[in-house]
Amino acid sequence: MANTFTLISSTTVTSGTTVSLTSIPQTYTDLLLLVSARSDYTGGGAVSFAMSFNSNGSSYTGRSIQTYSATSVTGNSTTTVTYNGITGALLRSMASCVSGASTVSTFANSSIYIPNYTSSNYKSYSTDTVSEGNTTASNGPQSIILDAGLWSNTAAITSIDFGLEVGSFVSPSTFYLYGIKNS
Amino acid sequence: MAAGSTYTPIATTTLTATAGIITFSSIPSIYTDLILIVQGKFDVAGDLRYRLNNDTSTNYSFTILYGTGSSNGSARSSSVSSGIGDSYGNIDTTLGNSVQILQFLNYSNTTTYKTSLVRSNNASGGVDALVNLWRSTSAINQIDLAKNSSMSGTWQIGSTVTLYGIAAA
Repeated sequence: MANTFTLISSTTVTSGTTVSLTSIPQTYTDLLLLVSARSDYTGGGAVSFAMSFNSNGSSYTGRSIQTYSATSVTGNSTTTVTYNGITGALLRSMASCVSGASTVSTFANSSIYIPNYTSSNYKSYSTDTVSEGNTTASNGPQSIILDAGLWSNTAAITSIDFGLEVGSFVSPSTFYLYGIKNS
Repeated sequence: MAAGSTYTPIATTTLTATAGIITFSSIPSIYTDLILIVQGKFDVAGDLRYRLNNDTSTNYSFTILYGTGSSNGSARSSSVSSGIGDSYGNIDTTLGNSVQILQFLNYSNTTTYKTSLVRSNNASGGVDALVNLWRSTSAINQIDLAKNSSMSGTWQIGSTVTLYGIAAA
């Protein structure tokens, strides 16, 4: 049977503020990136990422819906941000942090699906992120976030960079990149 | 998920001519779940809708959670004649602007009604999470994809839809 769901790379980080996934092979149809991450930031709330493709810092747009203050829902438009030298799409609350009431060993988890990443069309992507901190504090990391993103660029995606908003990665923050083939 | 054997491409359609409906037929019942990845383009922006096993009766219902960037909310509809694949995260007139991901759970059993979970995305329109119910105990063996509840729009050239089978073992 064809191997159509393949681990391209696994990256485990124990510190630092950025992650780079480079030399992405062009032999798949879609990409799926699964992230489990945590920041050591102690200021409370959740920590976001900047995500860029091909080290390109422009043409990112999107829409999101997310829970906030534990019990309410809000929608936002995606903006371009620069975190730790990475300029790209804002991915909200992908890394829970050590706020006053959050659970120490809690990591945020994200699924990022990028279809047709080698095509000459613009690149849309779908992101689901969840974070739970066993707290009802309004500045806790607990959240559910759905993102619709678009990189208005026709280049094939060959690399993905992440920059952490604040703090440093807590070990073991992991980035698993899978390739999916449709034949 | 184990690599390879449980995530199997069943069929891919990439249009080389316009079409009213994209159909996946003779879907084998050997998997546990089905996943559809849709990157389409319509003649005019519209919603992705689907029918199962050519059932045109009002056996479908759905609930939507949506966000547009400036507003958010939920909506639902009952006893309608098609399932839904997006709301604000819809298909527009440019390839690459949107992606819809539909998962049909336990699609081949003949005991339960069939549920699908959907995530739809259009960066200039919105983002949706949806759940559909098809009130039939039949195994799903055909999926028809079209525009709007009238199922009457036109898919444009280059639209691509892939159907994957997910096996539990």
